[in-house]
Amino acid sequence: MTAAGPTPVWITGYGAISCVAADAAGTWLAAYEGRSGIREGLGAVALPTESPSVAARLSRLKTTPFGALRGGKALPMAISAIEEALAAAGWEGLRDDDGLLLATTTGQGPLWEDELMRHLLGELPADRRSSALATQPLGVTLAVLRELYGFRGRATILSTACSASTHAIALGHRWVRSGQVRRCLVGGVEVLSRLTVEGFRSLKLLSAERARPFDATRQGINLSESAAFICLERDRAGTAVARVAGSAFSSDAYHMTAPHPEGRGSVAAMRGALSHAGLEPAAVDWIHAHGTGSIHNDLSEGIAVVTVFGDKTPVSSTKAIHGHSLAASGALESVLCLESMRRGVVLGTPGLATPDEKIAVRHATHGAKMPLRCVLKNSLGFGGANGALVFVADGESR
Amino acid sequence: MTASVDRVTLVRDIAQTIVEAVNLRHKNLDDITGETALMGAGLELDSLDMLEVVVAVETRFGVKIADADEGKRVFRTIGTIAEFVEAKDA
Amino acid sequence: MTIWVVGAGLSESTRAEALRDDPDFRRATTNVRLAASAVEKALAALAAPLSDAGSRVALVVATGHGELEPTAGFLQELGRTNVARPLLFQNSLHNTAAGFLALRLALVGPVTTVSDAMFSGEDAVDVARTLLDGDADIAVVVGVDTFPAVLSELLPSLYPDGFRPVDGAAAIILANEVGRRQFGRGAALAVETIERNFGTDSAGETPSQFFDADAIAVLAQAALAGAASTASPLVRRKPDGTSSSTTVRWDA
Repeated sequence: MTAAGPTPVWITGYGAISCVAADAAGTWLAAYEGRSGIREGLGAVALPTESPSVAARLSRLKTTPFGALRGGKALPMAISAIEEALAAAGWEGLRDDDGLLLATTTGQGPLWEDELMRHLLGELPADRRSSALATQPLGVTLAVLRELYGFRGRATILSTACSASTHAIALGHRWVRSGQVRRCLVGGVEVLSRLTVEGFRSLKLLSAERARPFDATRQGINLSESAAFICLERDRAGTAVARVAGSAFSSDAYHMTAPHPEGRGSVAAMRGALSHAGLEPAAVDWIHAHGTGSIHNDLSEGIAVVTVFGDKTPVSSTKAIHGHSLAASGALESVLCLESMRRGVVLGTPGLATPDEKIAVRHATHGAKMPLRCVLKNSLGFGGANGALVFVADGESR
Repeated sequence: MTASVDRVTLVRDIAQTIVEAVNLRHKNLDDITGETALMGAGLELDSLDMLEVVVAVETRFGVKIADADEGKRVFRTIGTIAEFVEAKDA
Repeated sequence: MTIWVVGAGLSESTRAEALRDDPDFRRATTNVRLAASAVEKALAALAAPLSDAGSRVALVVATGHGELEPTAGFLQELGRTNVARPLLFQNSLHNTAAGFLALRLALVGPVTTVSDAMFSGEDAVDVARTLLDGDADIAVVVGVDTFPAVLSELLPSLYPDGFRPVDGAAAIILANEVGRRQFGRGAALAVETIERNFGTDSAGETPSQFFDADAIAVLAQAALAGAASTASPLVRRKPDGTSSSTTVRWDA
């Protein structure tokens, strides 16, 4: 920290891959144009032809013990988003004094899930047993990224379900802000798996149609896959869209599955992030909500937003376009916030036809051109773990 | 009205199924009757328990709840579940 | 920034088993019961109730495999009968133990779960240190892992050298200066640095039988052993060949 205050944490690059596009700009455009990637209630990623940089990075797998990961989607998705972010930031890979933070719920998902299920049913031949659990620890994904990027620096994986990558960005914000690292690559990756799809279905949380966040007729969420990464650093190097001005974590301590009815934890996270940024609620131009389309989440979150911001600050959720990618959602949607800030265009809530009267927020006008000086990204997680991030555009004073 | 032997057995069976499904081992099975409510005073189950109980009863007795409204009606007391199971068997 | 261990506890399997009969724990997984067993012992050492810290309490749970038992249970039932059990799924998330403990201890501050294979424990202590530099004055850090019997056939493939993880949990209560004054009782173990060695050429002591988050168990054991018996650095060689070295000192 300098005498003038904590060091600003600039966002100098970002990348994403979602069920609508293979990159950040494409995902944003799909949201802008209202093109949804949800089919039969789910959003699957179609892996694109690998760019030379992605192909080069993945080819290094041959010299590692992690060859099995090539067969999954998580690694190619993560590399795709990482390479896009690094290129945008002008980083030539990672240095050992950088930080690396990853968020995921199911990690390699289907790779171990299929084998594990077959083992449990007694159908796995003895010579295949080792693969049944070898890729199950979440740490495997980080270990392979370390190998592929030759990275020996500070890293970890957070797994707080739906708020995990928001937590990861908040942690990375602290690492860079306090000078513990100069730069930090942060993001999330989530792939669809039978465990999560059938699990959420058993909790009656899924919708077979496109989700309608904040709508009176909303029925549930669309699970999806995505990977999104952000480059944080102390040096602006000219091209930063914005900085992370504040971030906060909170816990509902209310119930294992249901959010607090008045979103008390979410209120604390949003207020905490604003306070961390030294800003008042009135400073926020736009709130990108968690807005999953679940009956309880949207109501709790809506009440929380009104509690903190009143009914003047525009709010939206873009999950009808790209779905809910669980641990990766915070990072993916932060990328959308940043892309909106870069373009000076607000994204509304696609699919919102009849706003729920009980959710008294002001819904953002889709496509409105306005300078987005300050944007708040909100996340609520299963089990009550919440997170919030405040982005402030470059050129704005604190 | 005297409950039939079959109904008594069914109520006990349903109670056992629920006790196992959501681990109510601290409750005395003998205290659970057809009148016992699932939510609130009674078994004090919450929304997560109810989801599990519905699946457990459907699986054990080979029945299926059509929709959320039917679920609410059927899973009110042990007795209402028993009526539903009996009706499906008839 | 130096942080201190002001409370420590290791899980007791008999206590964890007994919690099955506690109505508050009726839906709790084995991880949750083990973690709770360790945490309650660690909290007992504090000089003041945790609630005195208000929202300035962090909770960091470290787990290498997460909730393998309910995950296996869910997938097995799904595969066999095509029935998806909501409770098993809810319990299969890595964040389950953190969510449960936060609820039980009424924690409203930062609550998070770390999972980084063999370095889960080191990472969790590191995350706690960051949170103790602004978000919290006290951090409950728990490491827990269980390996369900139904998957025991897979162990030789996972650990061909014969390592067999033991189900268990360890908890340490970490504090910054403010937290130490408020919750510490006199002497405390200061945690200075944690080095991780990713190479597979590491020497060091045989790893404890504890699971992936063993750095927390090692710190807990050192804190409980007291000044006379704690050497520094605490070096652990992991079953995967990596190692870590934690520098500690006793602070009167």
